[in-house]
Amino acid sequence: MCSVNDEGAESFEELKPDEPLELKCRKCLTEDGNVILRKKDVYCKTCFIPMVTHKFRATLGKSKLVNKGERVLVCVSGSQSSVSLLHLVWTGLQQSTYKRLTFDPVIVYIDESILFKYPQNQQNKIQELFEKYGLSYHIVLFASVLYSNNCLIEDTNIDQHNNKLKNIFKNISDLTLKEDMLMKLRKHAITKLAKLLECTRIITAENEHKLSIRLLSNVALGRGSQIGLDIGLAVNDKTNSKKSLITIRPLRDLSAKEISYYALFNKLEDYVHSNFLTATNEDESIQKTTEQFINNLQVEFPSTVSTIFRTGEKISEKTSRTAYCSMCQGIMDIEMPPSSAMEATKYSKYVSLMGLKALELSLNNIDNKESDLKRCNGCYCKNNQNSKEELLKNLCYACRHIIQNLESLDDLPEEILKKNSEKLQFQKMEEQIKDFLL
Amino acid sequence: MTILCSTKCGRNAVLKRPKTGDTLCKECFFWAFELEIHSTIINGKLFKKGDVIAIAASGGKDSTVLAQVLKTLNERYNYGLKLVLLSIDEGITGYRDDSLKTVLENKDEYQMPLKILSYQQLYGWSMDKIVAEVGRKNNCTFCGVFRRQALDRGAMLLNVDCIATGHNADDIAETVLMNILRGDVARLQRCVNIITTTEGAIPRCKPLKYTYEKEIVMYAYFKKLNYFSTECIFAPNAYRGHARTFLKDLERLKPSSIMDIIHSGETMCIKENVKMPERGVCTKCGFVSSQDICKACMLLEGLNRGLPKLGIGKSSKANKALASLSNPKSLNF
Ligand SMILES: [Zn+2]
Ligand SMILES: [Zn+2]
Ligand SMILES: [Zn+2]
Ligand SMILES: [Zn+2]
Ligand SMILES: [Zn+2]
Repeated sequence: MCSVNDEGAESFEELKPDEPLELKCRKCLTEDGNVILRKKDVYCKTCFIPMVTHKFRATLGKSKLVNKGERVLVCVSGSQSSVSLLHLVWTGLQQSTYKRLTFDPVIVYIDESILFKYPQNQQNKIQELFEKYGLSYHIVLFASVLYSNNCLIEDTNIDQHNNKLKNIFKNISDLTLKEDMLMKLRKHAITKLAKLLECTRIITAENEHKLSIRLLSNVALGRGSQIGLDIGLAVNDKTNSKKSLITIRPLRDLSAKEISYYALFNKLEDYVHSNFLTATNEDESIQKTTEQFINNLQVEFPSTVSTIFRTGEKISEKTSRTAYCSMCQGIMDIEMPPSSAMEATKYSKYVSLMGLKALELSLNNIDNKESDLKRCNGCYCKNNQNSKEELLKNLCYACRHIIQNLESLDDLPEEILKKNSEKLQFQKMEEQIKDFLL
Repeated sequence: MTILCSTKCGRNAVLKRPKTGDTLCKECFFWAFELEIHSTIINGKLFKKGDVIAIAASGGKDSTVLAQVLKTLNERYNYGLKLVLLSIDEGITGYRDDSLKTVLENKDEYQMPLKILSYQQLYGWSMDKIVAEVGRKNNCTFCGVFRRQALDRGAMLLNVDCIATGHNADDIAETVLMNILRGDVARLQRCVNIITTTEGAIPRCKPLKYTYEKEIVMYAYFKKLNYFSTECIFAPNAYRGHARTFLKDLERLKPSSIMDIIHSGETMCIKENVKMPERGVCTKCGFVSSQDICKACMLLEGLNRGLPKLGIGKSSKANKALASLSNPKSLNF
């Protein structure tokens, strides 16, 4: 078939051969340029920094969600974006009265050195950095946040907790799922910290480039319905009805390049921040393949990142029911109509095992058959298997892929399991009284 | 080493399913393949008894397998459908000549009526002539835009109830990616629909929506189906080429990626406050269009006026160019 298919014409902005550059700053028209953005816009240093600050403030202001004196969790991972975010927040707090940021920031750094190799003195350096800014801050261990309720003060069981955390990832062999799990656990940790520190807003540092990669990875992982949650400007955590927790991403309108220059001009040092994909090849995981794909396209078609990002702006989840995944808080996307990719996949697996017999049994038998197939042949893991089945019931499409790979649930954070059993309890109650509800 | 068929039918497996990884014998694979399409048709409510269905036949593997499977299922499960083949002859020497031969063979083999419509007949321009005029850079734009309408026009002529196209799961997943990359949320929404209906146009459906391309090739291979496999001889669009390679990379890492992407597409929707292009009809030809003048008419206008670049870029530019022409409405085409 022709490469165009039937979807009609395609037009993309192709990279034009380099046009002669104006060398003066486009804003003040007097200074020599120091930065070139979008291959043509030249800025001097003096004009560039206020522009970045302005974008940050505009994005933050647009959300109109941060009130005066509100406690806001500012997440700093050590990455260039995050140290820039910290600098932007701090600068905002120093401004003259009418421009000053009025919220009450609480800075956190989650130490993941149990999972990744960091320079030995990294924690000290981060501490020095935070001290320099003089804002209230916390440096916490990843495993403590996940498994201890005392993580802000002292975790007496840290060795045990570290082992649990390492165990989870030891049990997931697939790099794609490993990284996906890391993202979800980080999110879980941040949410928990916000609650412990009585913050009602969370600010994170993702830039446009990072978010567009996340968007496309999400689509590839079956997390299309979570795009709003994962890249949106402001995301309401609807599960927390008493005190609504909102995540804001004020650097989302800034490009990676703008942030690098901001960090460079302000002499901001950044720190090693790893994940499971650091130093892996692009052909080992979906996320890295996606990143590589976007980066390559961006070279050929410079509008790639911003187009993907703007597409994300227009997408939200299809919701008929308000139920949320116990792992990632994404909307539950597993009650699909018979004509859907999810049901078709189920049927494929079924037909491949049943062959001709598939015809005799009705399609409705699939679910029963499926759980029959999963039950092990008389081994002792029945209980374990049961609780896994129960957890799977309240997981979204993509989180199921992760948990199905786990041998045991023992190493999952307690809150996730607890939340799940509460949900199950509630569902059982609903089941019992459903005929009497008007 | 022999591996047994995973359905426990007792035969030896001859293949590993690209979609599920299960090992199957030839017979069980045919069953699985056909049953899945049957279930797609039933669950998606694609057809009604007595419907006349035009199968968009290009001679390629997708449409050849679609024709074979629809004929089989129609007889086996008494769908009560009348199936006809509809082919579009773009007029590309060395490409369409050969593929149309395959369609003619299909017609005899499946004993289905066949209607061939040419671009020359429909638009007064064959693709060979268009290429001579515009060169090879943009010709796929013409090819795609003209084909879309050509199918509608052909289906009108044949008075059918529905057009069944050979789009497979890989095509749909690729289109989801493409529409994100080009920021086209309206199409992003529409492209995962198994039936697309537009007012004034004949509905289209995709019975192979959940079928993997690799399995289609497998099916054709084991059934020894005759199909035409040369890609369009003109250079493929670079952007779509990248998306296709990307999808193949994802599939290699995780075979379920194709279905995962379709699942994503099926669970996303457009925010309420996003303005959507209005879909009306073209004031010139009466076919569906989001603009006053549809893309096909725009391109045709350019060709006839000796300005072939017209209509290739952004529509707004083309509209301006069109407006600057002397009294464009008086032109006939
Ligand atoms: Zn300047
Ligand atoms: Zn989830
Ligand atoms: Zn078999
Ligand atoms: Zn073509
Ligand atoms: Zn028209």
